[in-house]
Amino acid sequence: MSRAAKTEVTEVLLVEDSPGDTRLTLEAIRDCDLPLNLNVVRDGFEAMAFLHREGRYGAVERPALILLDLNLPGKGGREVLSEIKGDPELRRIPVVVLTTSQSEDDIGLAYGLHANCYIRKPADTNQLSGIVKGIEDFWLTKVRLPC
Amino acid sequence: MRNHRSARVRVAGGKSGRVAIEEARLPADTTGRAIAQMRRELDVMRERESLLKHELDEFIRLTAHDLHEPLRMVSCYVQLLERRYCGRLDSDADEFIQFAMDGARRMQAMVDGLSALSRVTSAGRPFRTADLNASVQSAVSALRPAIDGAGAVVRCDTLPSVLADGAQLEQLYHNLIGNALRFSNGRRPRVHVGVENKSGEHVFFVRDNGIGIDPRYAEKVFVMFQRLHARDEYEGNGIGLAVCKRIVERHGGRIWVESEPGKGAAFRFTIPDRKEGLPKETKP
Repeated sequence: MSRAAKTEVTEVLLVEDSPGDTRLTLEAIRDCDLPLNLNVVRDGFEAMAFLHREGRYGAVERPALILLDLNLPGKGGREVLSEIKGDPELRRIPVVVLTTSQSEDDIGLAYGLHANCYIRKPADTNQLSGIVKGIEDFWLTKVRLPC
Repeated sequence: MRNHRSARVRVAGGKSGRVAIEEARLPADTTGRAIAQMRRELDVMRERESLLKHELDEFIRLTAHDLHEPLRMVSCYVQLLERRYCGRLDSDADEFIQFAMDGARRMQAMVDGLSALSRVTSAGRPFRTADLNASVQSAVSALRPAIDGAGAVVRCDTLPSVLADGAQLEQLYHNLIGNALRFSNGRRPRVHVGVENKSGEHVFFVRDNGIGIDPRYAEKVFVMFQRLHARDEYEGNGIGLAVCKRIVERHGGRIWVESEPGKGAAFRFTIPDRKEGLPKETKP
């Protein structure tokens, strides 16, 4: 659902195995004072369980946006992406691939699997804040998403 | 310098007088066999060289890739420390944070440089007919802010088309012209991009009126991470010319610099005009 007022908190799913990266994303959200609730899962199996509201994720709200790292242990980010975009319900959720890879092959593959956009993780916290703010501003404020 | 062995292999063309005497001393079939043997050895050595080059490429690529992640963590968290705690601890702590930031920044530049170097071979595109004028124009457009900022004049002669990776030649000109602008000696930089024909070979050049290079360091400038000046005097990460050398070598050419301190520098390179027999590349 699109957010009606700025004060409402939007659920975002972060699929990321590195605690260091997760914390950086959290700090960026905090720095920019964004009304986002970051749900973190550490691999692809957990991500799919979360999205299908299975097991301990039975009561979670469906996220408005997914931030997906490509390099995950177990079920990788590419598999997660292809499962999400192969599912008629889940494919409506925008998936932002946020990864360290700068390989043209990965970029091509991600868009081939219908990623909504591909962003390379920066090595600078100001840039990261800018990216997180940009994602929030575009995907969760300006863009109109289906209910 | 040619060694004894390769000098003898060249004999096959029969152009050396000294060798003609050697040949006269030996029965014809012995000479033929010896030459064939040397050719085989040369092939083996070439094969080994290309294998070693490939291994080095892989090593650089993996090193750059694997260092990137932990370094990104160090950089980001030191930045967070600085942003949140600078001025809130004590002056020693502030200074330590600054040194750590500076180190992380420099290492980042080096890792980026290594990636750029490895991409010359790993992300290189096949050779096609490339208009060098277009490569130079793109490089100049990209450098426009720096050119205008320095009040520089860049003169470009008409260049031929060559069989090459056009994007890499643009990068080559970008680095060489960028270099000419950076080491400008406080004067208004004048850069001349052109070509000369020397004994049937195109020799391309980028000449400037900058600080020049002591001939003693003429080889050293192309070595990775070598800097001839203090960091605060001239910026740069010591990788641009190493990338240039790699690009030219991927095309089977040579690059060198002719200069004297205070008299500007002329970077020259060749791109063999080949219809066939492109340098062999080992792809991962």
